[in-house]
Amino acid sequence: MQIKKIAIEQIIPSQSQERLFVEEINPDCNKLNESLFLQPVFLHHTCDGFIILYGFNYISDIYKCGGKNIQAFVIPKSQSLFSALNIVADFIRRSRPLWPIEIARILQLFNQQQFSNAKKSAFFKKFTEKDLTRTLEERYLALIGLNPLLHKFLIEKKAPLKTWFLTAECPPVIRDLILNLITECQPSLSTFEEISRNLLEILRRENIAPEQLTAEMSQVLIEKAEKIQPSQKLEIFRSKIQERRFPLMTIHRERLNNFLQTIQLPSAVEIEFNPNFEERGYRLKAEIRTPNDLRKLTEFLNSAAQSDLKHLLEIL
Amino acid sequence: MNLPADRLIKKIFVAAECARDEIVEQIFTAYPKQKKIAIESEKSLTETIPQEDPKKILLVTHSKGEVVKDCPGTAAPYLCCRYQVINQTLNCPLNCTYCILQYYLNQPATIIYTDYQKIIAEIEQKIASQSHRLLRFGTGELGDSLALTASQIFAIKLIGYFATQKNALLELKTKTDRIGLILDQPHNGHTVISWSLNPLVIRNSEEHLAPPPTRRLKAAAEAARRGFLIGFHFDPIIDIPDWENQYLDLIEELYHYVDPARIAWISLGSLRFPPSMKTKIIARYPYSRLPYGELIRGQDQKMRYSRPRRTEIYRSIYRKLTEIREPPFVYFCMESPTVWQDVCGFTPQSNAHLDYLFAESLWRRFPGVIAESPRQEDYRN
Repeated sequence: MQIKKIAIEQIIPSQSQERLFVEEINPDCNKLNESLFLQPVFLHHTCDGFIILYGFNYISDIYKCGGKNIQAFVIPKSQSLFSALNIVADFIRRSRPLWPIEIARILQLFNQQQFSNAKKSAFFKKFTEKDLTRTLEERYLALIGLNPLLHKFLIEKKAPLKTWFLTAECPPVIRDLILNLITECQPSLSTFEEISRNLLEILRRENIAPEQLTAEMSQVLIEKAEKIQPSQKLEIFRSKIQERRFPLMTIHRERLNNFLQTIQLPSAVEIEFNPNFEERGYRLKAEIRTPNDLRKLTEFLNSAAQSDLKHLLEIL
Repeated sequence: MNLPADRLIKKIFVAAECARDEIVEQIFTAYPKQKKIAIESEKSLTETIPQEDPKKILLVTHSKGEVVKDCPGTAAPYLCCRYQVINQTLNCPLNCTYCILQYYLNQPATIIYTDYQKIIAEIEQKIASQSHRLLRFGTGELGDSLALTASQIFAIKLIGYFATQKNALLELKTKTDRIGLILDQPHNGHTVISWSLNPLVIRNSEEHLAPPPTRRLKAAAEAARRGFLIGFHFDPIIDIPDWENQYLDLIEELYHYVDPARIAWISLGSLRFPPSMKTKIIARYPYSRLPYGELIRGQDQKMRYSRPRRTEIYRSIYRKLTEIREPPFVYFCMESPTVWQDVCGFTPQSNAHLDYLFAESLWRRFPGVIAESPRQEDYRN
């Protein structure tokens, strides 16, 4: 394989018209130059011409700037498409693992080209270190249907495979809801995963239509929409979903909070308890800065609040 | 005499070292139609055994290490009863959705150890090392004690052995109603046959290859008539919308069929599993709603219902079980002292104390089963 200067006109669209690989732009490459090899470009030389396997964006940019030629790695005709894809994937793997969407697109291409199961499995094993089962293949192929903005988010956040699969498992209306949330509130990966998982589990647990859940959850946001920051919006959304997913825990927590409000705590004292209630007990946090704080705490502990604190222990 | 679960078995692989074992002959007789394949060693096992459902293949072989072990239980602060497990059958054909074996086991076959003399020697050693106290042994930890005839053949050997022991009990734990082979065995009151129970609605959704609870209870009634001690395990208790009616009705049915005076013990335990088992349940049983319950991560890192919810459910079940005159010994499997206290009004001080409470209850309720009055200090180690 050599680096060759190829006329852009000789390059033909690939059969699938799909971009198989996610192309990173070299941040140091701010000047397009057709005679320099600044960005990796892989072309497969076929009987019909040169097919782009990697470097769509760069070629397109050069072309838009009036460039006529491109420096590229050219995989010769003697190499099959299977080998060519292996070469490109090997090259990418030097800097990062293949993204799940890339694996999915390649599996789809293999299916379109009617490649043998053995070839598919070999490629899959090489790049994922997993055995390709029918179920696993189906889960990968489902990633192709995700909105490209979700692909982008998952790649940017370096999401693990399980998060990709979880996203693809969500029905389309739920994915749209999540996508809106990403656009508006930019959640962290863990928040994104928690919200997606809880939404999916609410659907399964309550056996309701995704449209119904989406409508109900959207309503929550509309009601609170006035003058709230994206981060507040995200928190409201997250906690509403959490409450819906764990209704009994929510009732228990509300009951406790209601009782806590009846206890006249000194301003420097707080009560904390384990959020999942697995341990009985609570922590009394008291901040003592002055003798007066100490006096107030002593009075509080010796007051009628004692029975409240005992009762709190019982209902925790 | 093939049991329904036996009919799932397609092939039997026989390791060279056990080809002449007495038990193997009996297993061959019990599975006349299944193909028998000899293998040289377990090393060649993975190459020889095809990629099939391990539940459809039996591997009869000799055990390599200890078969009789302390029950792994779970981490503190949850209390465990210091049970002894006899892992002679590894895997179970019943396919319950919540089964922990799908997480623990990854052998390519259901393993049956045939070197029963060696296993009994292990049991004997344990008993001899603590001869002054009661030890409880059971075969139902890594497989159903009676679902496969191959396991029943071993159970018969054990019943005979335990009949001669003064301070040891055997528990055969099952979800089946297939007790015909063992009913006539002389047991001398030292075998407890116990059943895991869940309401019919849960059996239908989560325990599809196990018989309905009524059939299990009828089998229990028959075993009680033959003088066996009986045990029940409400485990895993599953939080379903109508849990209270379902479980309370089941308890009424239980006491209708089985005289509480014949029940050695009843355990309660709620659904719990390691977090990573959730994805396995979803993948294997996509229709099951179990993974979507209100489960939190417990102090032993296992997923379980929240303590307030468990307490609420246990309270109702415990009250129903114990509202009769002279109720059986009811205990919790892997529960916290807080739950014990809130439900029962007391808590064992430790695992050792819980272990002692079993002996104390048996001594009091079943004269002759234990040789000597149990002393708490004998249960401290």
